[in-house]
Amino acid sequence: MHNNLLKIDLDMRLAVNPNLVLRIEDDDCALLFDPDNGRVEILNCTAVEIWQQLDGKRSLHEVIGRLEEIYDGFDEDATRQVLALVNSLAGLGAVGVWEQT
Amino acid sequence: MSHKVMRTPRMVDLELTSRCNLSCRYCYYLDHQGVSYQDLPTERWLALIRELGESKVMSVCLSGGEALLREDIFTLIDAIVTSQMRFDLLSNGSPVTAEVAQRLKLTGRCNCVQISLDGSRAEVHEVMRGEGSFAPALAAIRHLQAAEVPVTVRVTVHAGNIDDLPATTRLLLEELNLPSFSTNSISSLGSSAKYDDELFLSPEQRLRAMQVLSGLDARYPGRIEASAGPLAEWQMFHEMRRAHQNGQPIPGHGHLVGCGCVFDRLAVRADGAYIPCVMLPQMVLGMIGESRLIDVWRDAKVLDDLRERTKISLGSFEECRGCDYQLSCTGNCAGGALSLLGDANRPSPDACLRSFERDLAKAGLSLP
Ligand SMILES: C[S@@+](CC[C@H](N)C(=O)[O-])C[C@H]1O[C@@H](n2cnc3c(N)ncnc32)[C@H](O)[C@@H]1O
Ligand code: SF4
Ligand code: SF4
Repeated sequence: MHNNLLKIDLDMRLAVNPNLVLRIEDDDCALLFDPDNGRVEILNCTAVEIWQQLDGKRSLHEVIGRLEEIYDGFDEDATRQVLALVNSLAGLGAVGVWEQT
Repeated sequence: MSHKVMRTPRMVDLELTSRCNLSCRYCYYLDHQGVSYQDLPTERWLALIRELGESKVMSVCLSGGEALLREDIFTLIDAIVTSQMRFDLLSNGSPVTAEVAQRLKLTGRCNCVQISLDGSRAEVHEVMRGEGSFAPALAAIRHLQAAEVPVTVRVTVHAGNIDDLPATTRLLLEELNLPSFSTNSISSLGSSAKYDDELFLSPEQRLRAMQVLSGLDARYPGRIEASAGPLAEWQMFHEMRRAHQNGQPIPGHGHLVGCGCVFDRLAVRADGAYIPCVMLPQMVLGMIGESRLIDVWRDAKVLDDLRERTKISLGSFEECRGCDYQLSCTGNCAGGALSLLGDANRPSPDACLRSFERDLAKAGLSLP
């Protein structure tokens, strides 16, 4: 698989990197584990929520729409935070647009 | 100290076989009265490994016995890789040829291989580990290094290798240029009945081992690791003495908190018995094929009791009454307590600072 992600925009249909393992630890946090190098990142519950929505079919627009339904008072600031988070996950190679090579 | 129980274990120890090509005099694994020495067939391990992957376990530690003696070892390792896990491997080194090292490298998932090496020369290493065991152990380290597999060494300290520790350290850290190695000493684990007293360090030898290792630790900072044994005790005992002198307890201590494994780790014996830890092999929680690991992890009463152990205050034990170190002590390993006293819910006497000081005093010595 190949991640050809260049720049995040709201129409993108991002998916999680299938080679990573999400370990839910408790109600507040999860670990994102890369078995190929042993690296572990900590995700909070919002990040986990986003992670679980990134299925390669929904656009980021739709994902944010769903988050608006789940969380009260989800405003523009929250949208910016989601984008920043998705950006940083993409930077880690944890989410992207994946193609079969 | 408040411990959180993970939803599933992060790490699982798999004692893949009870077979071994050596019979080390101090081995805690062999000849345990409470253990049945039978090996599970491949399919049973494969099913468990799949279950571990589904439960999002991150890593397994393969040992035994000598795990590499299993003919299907690379089938099992392939399954570990497919199940998105990493692994560590403990070995005496004999089966680690250049080809085995290369195959381990090719998995891309090996955290580290730990080779047991107890001395810088065959005469020292083989006192406990048997004739002909030194050269293969040393060769194994070299094969692993050549294949660029992360490798470390465990030195088990005993009366016959204390004086050789500086030479062993030179061999490992300078000649072989390992990043680090770890130390322990022979401890009474599993069944204490099998151990002769002469296998253990006397108070004088224990003090000497502490002094030699702490000197080496100062010379090679951060490169000699210890979670038990003379170096770990030296560090812990000094911390406890400092805490007492300053009138400050060590936060989180003062209870039986010496064993944290039960919060994020579990073990499986070669015959398929789930156990809390390799140091508690007689505490069977369930069997592969009869119960799922995840159910055992969540529901086994024995495991819950071990987790609750951390709430037992050292002040509640007769043997700890009036001890200056009560609020800085952890009571140490549950495995030691079970083996020596037949009760895991007591402080382990082999790591008691007060009795160590008393034993030293009888010999006209004291902790510097
Ligand atoms: C049981 S062995 C299994 C792996 C492999 N056969 C080996 O010897 O490395 C794991 C480690 O436990 C150590 N060991 C065995 N019996 C011990 C004891 N009674 N006290 C402390 N360490 C012990 C061994 O030296 C070895 O480093
Ligand atoms: S090589 Fe390991 S398992 Fe075998 S007897 Fe020695 S310590 Fe025990
Ligand atoms: S008597 Fe020993 S085990 Fe008990 S608190 Fe003191 S040092 Fe710890």
